[in-house]
Amino acid sequence: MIPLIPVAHGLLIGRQDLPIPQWLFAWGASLVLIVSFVALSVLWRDVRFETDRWRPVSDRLSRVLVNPVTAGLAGALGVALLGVVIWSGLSGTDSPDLNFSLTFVFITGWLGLVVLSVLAGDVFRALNPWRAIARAVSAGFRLVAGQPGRAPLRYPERLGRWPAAAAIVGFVWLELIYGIGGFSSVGLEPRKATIAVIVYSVYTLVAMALFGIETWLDRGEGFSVFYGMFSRLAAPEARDGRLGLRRLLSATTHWATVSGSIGMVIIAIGTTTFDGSQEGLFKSPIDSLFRHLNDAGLGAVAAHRLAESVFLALSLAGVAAIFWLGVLGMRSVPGSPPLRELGSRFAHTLIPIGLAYLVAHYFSYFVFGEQAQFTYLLSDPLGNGSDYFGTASGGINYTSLSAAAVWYVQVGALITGHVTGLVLAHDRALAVYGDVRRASLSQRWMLAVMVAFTCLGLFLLSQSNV
Amino acid sequence: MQSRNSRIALALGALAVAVVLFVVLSGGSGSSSSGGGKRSFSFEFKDGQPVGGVQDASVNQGDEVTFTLKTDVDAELHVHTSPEHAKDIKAGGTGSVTFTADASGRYEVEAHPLVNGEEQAGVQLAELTVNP
Repeated sequence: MIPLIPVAHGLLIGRQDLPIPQWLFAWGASLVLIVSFVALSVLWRDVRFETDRWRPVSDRLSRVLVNPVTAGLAGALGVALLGVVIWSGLSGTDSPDLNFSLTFVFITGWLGLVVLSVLAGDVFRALNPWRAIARAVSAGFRLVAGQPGRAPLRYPERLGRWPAAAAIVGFVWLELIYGIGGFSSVGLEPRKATIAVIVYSVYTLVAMALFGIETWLDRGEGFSVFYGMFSRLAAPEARDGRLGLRRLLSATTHWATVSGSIGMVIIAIGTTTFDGSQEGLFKSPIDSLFRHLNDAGLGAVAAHRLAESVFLALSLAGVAAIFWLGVLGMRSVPGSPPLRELGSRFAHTLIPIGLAYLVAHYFSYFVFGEQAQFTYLLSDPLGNGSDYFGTASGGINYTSLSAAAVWYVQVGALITGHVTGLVLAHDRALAVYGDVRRASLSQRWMLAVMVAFTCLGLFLLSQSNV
Repeated sequence: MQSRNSRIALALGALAVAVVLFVVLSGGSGSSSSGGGKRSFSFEFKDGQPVGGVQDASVNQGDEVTFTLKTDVDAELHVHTSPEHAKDIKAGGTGSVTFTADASGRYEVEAHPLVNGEEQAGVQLAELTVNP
């Protein structure tokens, strides 16, 4: 029997967006060019975002929001939700879309925390269940031993943030490649995903014990680094237990100083590019590679996963190549720092593009996923017919978002990300080159990078998978 | 200072013109086709595969859609809209579902073979595209 071509599609929601129509694609692309030239003409001359500006909010507001009780509650909430994920994943139904755990992990958590981070700052730091557990254990140790525990190993600094980047690639691979599972739309089984959650939890707790809680959170824990990156776009930040507001975007400028940070931004864009193209642009190349691998004797599921993995790697490499070609071009401007340094100094300018890609690709998926999360998945987390909160009979209403609403959000996100990226790149160029003339010269290259990413994003949205 | 303000004004002006043009032009080209028609599609499920491959079922929002499946094993015809539409069909038989396509988007139409009444993993028959 000829092996079937596996059906790949969104894991938990049986609906996909319509491609953006041609006229909107044309308009989006022209708007990107107009905006870019306008941006070039209104260039400012003084660096604006590099200095650290943080102003405390009123004492009362700070005390209400940031105090030991709220910190404890947030940590407890994080641990409780991790517990619900493990409980529902292990004892609930095998149907991916009817089990609380998968929608919570891949939609509410994974995408919802991006939204929260961008709006309210580094919320995940407070909610992070592994941090909460590690801190509780560490406090217990201090109580018993009478002295604080010390990390037995020094973190190898040359690893930078690469362990975190690897964790995020692994997570996305589990969702987009392993989870599609071969011939059918069975998707990732809740039980397998939950085992992955448990394995990652143990790995994270052990790594924190070995290298120190804060070191691992800043370098190795994928989700902390990923959400921390997006939280830099937001204004709110707590410093020494005091809540304050920083200038919007300014915190991004100090983010990419650790090696591996570039990897994290590229992963945000590259994995989304892969997800957007696996059923459009990449569909037939993936199918043909699958056939070759299958003919060569590889089992169908393994051939499918390998073929997809190859194209995920190609997506990441392609995104990295676009960025580094731009940096290479910039290097030709007199007075440029060495290539690697130049690259890491401009890495943060891609954070808004990464956010734009996520919004453009997952906006409707997130909205519909949350409708499921807060109706039947909340009241019937195991999918066994219980109705804890009386919302079990509710469900997704696909008419709640019109096609046009989705299209405008998608194109609007890409253009906003484009402009924000240009703003950050111009500001950084002023800091790197010192004068407007050379800064502008260098920014022709970054402009090309941004236009490339934004037009690629529009192109992916305009692709139909038929 | 004045030159900067005037440049910002110019930029905002250009943006405003672009937005107005966009709204005017998109209104014309974005007009949707009217639904309300009746559309039917038939599939055959044989040897675990859809005969003739995965079909493209494109309809307009508001259309009344009928999917008919002929199958050589016990199977459930399943349309992944919300609410979902499903019909159990006996081996060698034919069955159909009819519904109004009220939400735009792309949806999977699948056949789930039934073994001892247990629903198996779905095999895609068609992609239903509902145009606004």
